[in-house]
Amino acid sequence: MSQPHRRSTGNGGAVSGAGGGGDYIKSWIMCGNLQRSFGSLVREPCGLNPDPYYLKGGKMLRPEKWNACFDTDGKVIGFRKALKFIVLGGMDPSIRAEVWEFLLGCYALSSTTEYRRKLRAARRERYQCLVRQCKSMHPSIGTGELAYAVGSKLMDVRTMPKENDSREEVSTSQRDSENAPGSTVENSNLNYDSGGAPQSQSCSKSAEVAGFNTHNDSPVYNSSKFMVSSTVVNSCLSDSGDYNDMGEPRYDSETFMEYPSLPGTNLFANDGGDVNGVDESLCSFSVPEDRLRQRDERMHSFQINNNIDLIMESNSSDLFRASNSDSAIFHSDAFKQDRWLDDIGYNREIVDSLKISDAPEADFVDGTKSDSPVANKDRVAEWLWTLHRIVVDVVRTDSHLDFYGESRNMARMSDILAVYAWVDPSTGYCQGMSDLLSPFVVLYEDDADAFWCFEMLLRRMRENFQLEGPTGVMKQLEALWKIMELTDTELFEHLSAIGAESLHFAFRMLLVLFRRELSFEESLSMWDDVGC
Amino acid sequence: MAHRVDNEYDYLFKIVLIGDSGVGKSNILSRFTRNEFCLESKSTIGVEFATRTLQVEGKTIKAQIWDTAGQERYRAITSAYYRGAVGALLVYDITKKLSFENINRWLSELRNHADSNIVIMMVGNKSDLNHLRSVQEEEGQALAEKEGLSFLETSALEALNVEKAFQTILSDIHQIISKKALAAQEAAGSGPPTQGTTINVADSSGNMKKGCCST
Repeated sequence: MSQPHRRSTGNGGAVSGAGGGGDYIKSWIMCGNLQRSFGSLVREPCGLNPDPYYLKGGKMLRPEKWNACFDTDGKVIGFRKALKFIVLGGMDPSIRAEVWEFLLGCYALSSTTEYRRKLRAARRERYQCLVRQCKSMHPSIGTGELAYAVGSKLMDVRTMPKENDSREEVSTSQRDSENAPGSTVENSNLNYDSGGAPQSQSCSKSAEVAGFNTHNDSPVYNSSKFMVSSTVVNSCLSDSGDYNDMGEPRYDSETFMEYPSLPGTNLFANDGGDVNGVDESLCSFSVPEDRLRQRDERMHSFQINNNIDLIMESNSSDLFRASNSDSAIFHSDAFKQDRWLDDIGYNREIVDSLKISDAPEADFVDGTKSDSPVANKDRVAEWLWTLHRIVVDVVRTDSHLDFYGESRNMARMSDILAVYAWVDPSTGYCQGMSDLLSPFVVLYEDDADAFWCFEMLLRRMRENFQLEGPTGVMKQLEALWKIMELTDTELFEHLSAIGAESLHFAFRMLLVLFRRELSFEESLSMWDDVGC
Repeated sequence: MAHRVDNEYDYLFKIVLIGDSGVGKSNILSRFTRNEFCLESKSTIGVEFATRTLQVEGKTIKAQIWDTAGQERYRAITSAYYRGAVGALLVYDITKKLSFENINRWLSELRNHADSNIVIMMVGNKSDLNHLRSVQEEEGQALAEKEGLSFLETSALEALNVEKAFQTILSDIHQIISKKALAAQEAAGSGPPTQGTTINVADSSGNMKKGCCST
């Protein structure tokens, strides 16, 4: 499937702008014509000449080597070797999109090609449902238009959307959509969350959306929808046990975690259901220290909690059936954390539920009644306001790339961020998230694929973007400081002497994974390594 | 413009730029320190900084300017950056009423986190967009007087009044410092000159090279 929109001149500009390592970087945009099973799903990388720098020694993970990592069913059997190649020589850009999905844990290594195909289809369907859901709140979503351009009210890009006006604009659109035929969702007191009927119509084929709906749905809706979902999922699998196995990122214990740990290597470590694998996943650096270990454990629980929000929205939570308080469910991290710490069975449930992001989960039943209409209304209002903030930043994210010169592509980024903010309201949107999403939008042709990669990445990064502040990064900076003390005494002493212990200069580097320090192509290469 | 003659200054003043997201803080910074303006500037993550050394009232003053992210949830982090600041440029966008209405929030932020002697200047940016104006200059002036702040409208795009704004605040600071250097020094903790708290300046100049239009 050839793509009309390629990363051509835009990236070329970025590369030359980076200065210095031009030749080095060229190697990352060289062409590869391989069309593997997923080849058609990804944007063809563009570039001209392979650079000798990386041709030397053949250490790079090339398409043929990557292909050799799969068995006949499409299970990955040589992942560790592949990781070594990436660490030693990077990877061929033509396989990046596919490899990243494994690095991020979107797919278990033990999954078959057929399973991945179905899972991908299910994810795309679910994403489309989420888009429809968001579109019912703001008509711009999913249309290829940015929110500020809706209603042909183009804004001065130079000045960014005017906040007041946007707000008015938003409410205008809301009114419009209320009057528009087919937007019954908006009409009945924003009860798209509680009614279920409009959604079930628009998403009749994909029960997954109910997963993100059910916190306020009727039991009937839940069960019926999830029955469908269950069928869908099960049809993807030879049997449910198999599915469970595949849902678990086995390679964490088999190969992934055994791979020699380098600073930063665990950043993308798959959390999935592997408790041990999660510990350091939020922290770029493994610090072998008891105190930090404890912190890691706490982070781990946060990590799990992070997913709870998704679960909460998706599964109407028998996990929290005991709780009558919606706010406790949705807003009390402490509550969640306590439950997590106290209850092994609960732990297990969460681990099981984590698969919600690996696949549409099937075994949810009986939604508890949740948010009041007022709370829903607030949530929608908050989301609309968030949408505005998203647009403000989307238009200034990687805007030097020709790719984002097209407003259609900016709208893709905006949509994905908006959908994420909707399904994860406790994170919402935070500055920096667009920088993290941007590569996925460029790399993946389908918004849904980009969305799920982003979601997997955010599982690891989510603590950096919480409402209460970027606590995750601050912990990483502390860890970095300790690492520096051990590994670079000279620098450590200098920074101590000038009172720079906080390492605030590195804040941005860690928050957006060097997206701002490196050129676009450079940062992709760096992400390759970090992912390993 | 390169303003990186280090070690030769009479005073080092730390100034923070604060205000809502998107009002143009980063461009005010780049206009002042590098005489650059970038329509496509990115959102600020955490904090960025740059320095410029200039003459104020016969003294060589090194202005170390810290530019912070506007989004609310970074506030917990950015508050740390107030430490040692002797001046603050509180920026709003004359085309965004809300950014003006939030001035009071930022003022209380300063009162909570910054030194009580901090010199505050209110800046209404984007004066080039007069046709989109939603905050009248008189409104800004009135609020500034009420709060006892100095006030200017600027345009980082047209390089209008940016220099003057910094000159004004640096001069105000200098006068205060001259009069009660001791008091200010004690209160600010790391306040004025040559106290060894010239944190990360080298880093900052490294960072700032990438700040605008360079990626």
